[in-house]
Amino acid sequence: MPPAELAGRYRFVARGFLSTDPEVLRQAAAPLDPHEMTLVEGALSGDPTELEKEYVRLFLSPAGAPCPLWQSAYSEEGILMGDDHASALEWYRAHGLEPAHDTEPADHAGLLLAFYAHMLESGLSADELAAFHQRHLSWLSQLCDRIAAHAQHPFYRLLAIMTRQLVAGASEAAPRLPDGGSGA
Amino acid sequence: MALSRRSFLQITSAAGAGRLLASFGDVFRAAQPTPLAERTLITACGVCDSACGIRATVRDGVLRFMEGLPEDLQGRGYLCPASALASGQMRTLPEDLQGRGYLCGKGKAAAALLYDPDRLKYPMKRTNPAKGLEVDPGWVRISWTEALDTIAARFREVLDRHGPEALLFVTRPAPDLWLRFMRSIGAVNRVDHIDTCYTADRIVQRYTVGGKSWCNDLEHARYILLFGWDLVARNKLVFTHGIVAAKEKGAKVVCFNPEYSITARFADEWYPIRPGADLAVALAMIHVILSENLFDKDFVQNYTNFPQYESQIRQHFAQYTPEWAEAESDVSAEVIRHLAREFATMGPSIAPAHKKTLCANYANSGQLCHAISILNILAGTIDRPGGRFFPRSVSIPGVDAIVPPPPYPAVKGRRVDGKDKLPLVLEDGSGLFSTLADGMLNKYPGMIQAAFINSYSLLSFPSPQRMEQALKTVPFVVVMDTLPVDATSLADIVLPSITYLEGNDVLARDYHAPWPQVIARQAVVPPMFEAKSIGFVAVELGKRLAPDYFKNPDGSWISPAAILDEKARRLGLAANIAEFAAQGIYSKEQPFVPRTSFATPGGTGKCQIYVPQFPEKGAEPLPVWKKRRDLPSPEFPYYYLTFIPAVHRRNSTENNAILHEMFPENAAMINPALAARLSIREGDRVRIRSRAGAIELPAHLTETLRPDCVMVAHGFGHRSKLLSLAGGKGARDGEVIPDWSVEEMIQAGDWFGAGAIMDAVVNIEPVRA
Repeated sequence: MPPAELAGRYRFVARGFLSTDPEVLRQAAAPLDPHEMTLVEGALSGDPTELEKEYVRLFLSPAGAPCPLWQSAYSEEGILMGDDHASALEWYRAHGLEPAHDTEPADHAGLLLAFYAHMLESGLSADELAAFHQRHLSWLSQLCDRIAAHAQHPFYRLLAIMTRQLVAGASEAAPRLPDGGSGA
Repeated sequence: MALSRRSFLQITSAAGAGRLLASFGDVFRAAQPTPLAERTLITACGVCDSACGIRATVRDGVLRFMEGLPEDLQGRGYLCPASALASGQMRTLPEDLQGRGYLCGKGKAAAALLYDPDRLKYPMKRTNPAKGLEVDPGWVRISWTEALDTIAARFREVLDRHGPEALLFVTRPAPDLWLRFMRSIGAVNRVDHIDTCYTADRIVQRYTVGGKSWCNDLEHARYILLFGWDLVARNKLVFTHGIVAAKEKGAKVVCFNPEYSITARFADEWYPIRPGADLAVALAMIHVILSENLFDKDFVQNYTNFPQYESQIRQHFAQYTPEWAEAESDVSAEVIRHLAREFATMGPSIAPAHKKTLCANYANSGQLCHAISILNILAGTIDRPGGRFFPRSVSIPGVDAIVPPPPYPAVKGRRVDGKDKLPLVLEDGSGLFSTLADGMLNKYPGMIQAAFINSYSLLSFPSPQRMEQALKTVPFVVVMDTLPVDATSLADIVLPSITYLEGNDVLARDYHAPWPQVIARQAVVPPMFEAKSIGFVAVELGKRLAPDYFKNPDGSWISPAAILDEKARRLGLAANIAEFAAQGIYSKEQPFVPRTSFATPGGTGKCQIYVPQFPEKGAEPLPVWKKRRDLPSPEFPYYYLTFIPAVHRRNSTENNAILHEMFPENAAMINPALAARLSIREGDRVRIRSRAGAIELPAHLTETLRPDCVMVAHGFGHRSKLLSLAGGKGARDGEVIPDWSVEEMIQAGDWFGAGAIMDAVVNIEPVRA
């Protein structure tokens, strides 16, 4: 897959972890292929509040979030702002960037994915891409496992599948929802 | 010029940054010049009220390391485990008077709270009107403005329709801005946990010696008598240092406790007293000291009201013989005599009472605190070396001194906790956790229409299951906290609170203050996510609900930051808080001049052994024997005790990754002899049942406990799913502890509002699979 196309997919999943505005998500889905766009459109077709409720329940819940969005939360220490935050920040800065909200950890799944999309389009070497991928994207399979186990909303089930496939390098395969779950 | 790979990359890629910013400008920005330099900041620990000094190392906006502050009298340069392990490293700096360069584990692990992934991050509101611990509230994020507007609108509606009595505040009376907010709207119903902690002792100390003091000059005591006191196990470093220093100098330590506690291990003599009978021993010791005239003649004659009431006092204590006390307490008359004689003659002697120790939490604890106070008075060590002393404190001007408010509205309305029926508690100002559920469910059902809970969980209450029911009757509940505690699940609005590492304050030290000390608490890192301080909420709600109380004389709004600057300036510490924070601590050694006049009510300037004001407030002028609230029966034959583990603070640290690893779950501690009788083996699940409720948890057999007791750590049994580490772990100790009505409290003679949380009796049975 050409880097620009791959980057478009990364931008979409990044946005999926950052926004619950269906319009924003639809726009981000533009680079996807028609089958995927149909799935996304279907997954977003319900009440927009349900999307926000599910996002909060999965990722932020004051009743204990089952799927935290920060890489450090999956480290051995299990607390935020650890080495993963510092490392992500170093990568961003090396590219002249930093998170806009400095009260939030830099190792947020959405930031890491958006940044990787940026790297793909910046013509970096395969080594450089692989280094970031290994350091900061491989943990996303754990996040996707948790989303798969906990998500009820079709959009997040789809997002987990797409993210897992992207990160596993299996992006060419079209995503399918398990158990006949329908996004359409 | 050699160019590193990274910097080459930076130069070549900076031009491309715009592409990412075009699509993700909401979450990325162009990199700013970064203050990569490491910074060292001084602050004060906020895990407990000791406020030990901390030196924090911050690298690139992230807290990396904390250590005790050597110049600090309180922590004396140490941090407790809750603080230290946070950063994974600790160091001891032994010069400091209070923490002495140490932090306890709770203090040191505090960064694990700061960076806990479970922290509340954004204001939220529920979308599902159905409430329950197991019901998904359907949370959605909202802005702070929407949250504050919604709260203010609901409070306004409640105030207009039902009056201030319909608002419940489950909060401390601090900070001063929050107190001002509550007073500005005429709040009448405010409760906090103090009744389950030390209200009784605070009332008694005020009437007997002229004010509650935390300061115990253990280091210079020659004889230390401990009724249930186990502050070494609470990790109050200042007291640990004191006990250790006293032992080094050859002091004798005597300990009454049904458990061979951590502190008891420092003791020369330990007596496994019958739970709730400390009062009998204390009364009998007074009997011996008086009948043998062993008291400090100079102090008692000159600085107490003993001369005025001598005949009443002697006559009163004549009944409490050591033989009588032996039958009540399981401590022999001979031992009581020899301890009383030693205590009175081997001094300086001290009998500290403090916080949630066994002695302050029985229904008869007001009497016990009075008896302990009399023992200290008879030893002649009130505000003397080796005794309880008053902090040489600095009075920090409050917001009302800095910006005087218009007159506050009169406080009117019914008290949901019934404290107006307890004159001593009413004037103390604290509210009652132990009677709140009864008030909300039985006495005034439906009266409370809105509640604001700040940093308290259901676990803080006796019978949390009843408090849960009570809260469900409140149509609108706001919870502000750092973590998703149980109460969060019942909230309509959730507000994320900062930790002490993200806030600013200026604090006077009062745990060990032989001379004045002031310490700065400063934000060592900016607040995470969208967390805010309770002071911010006070001003914002104040602006919306009582604007006249939140304006400066020039009409501008009061600013919490400006108030802090003014405090620092008026104290003469610095031009503003930032300047003072750079110094960190003010501590000026002054000679200790013992008091010769004591600020007791009545204006005599004397310590009051006989308290003539008590009868008009329901209580007895001299301590009288009262049995504990619940006595063992055939149905409930065992005493039930709770404690807070050394590495935890109340019920707020169990989700801390580091402290969780050290003490993840509670167990039923049972003596092997009792376990054998009940066919219980180590690790077996047991069911503990009282008239209030039942809990199940694994048994832990230990020789350290009397064989007629079972003991359970407080702070566990957070409901499942709430907290990723602590959720569902262990049992809620409080479910077995009956709450009560204010009438029951009065009937038990508890005019001092003690929470009676150590009075439960239980049955224990193995749970067979």
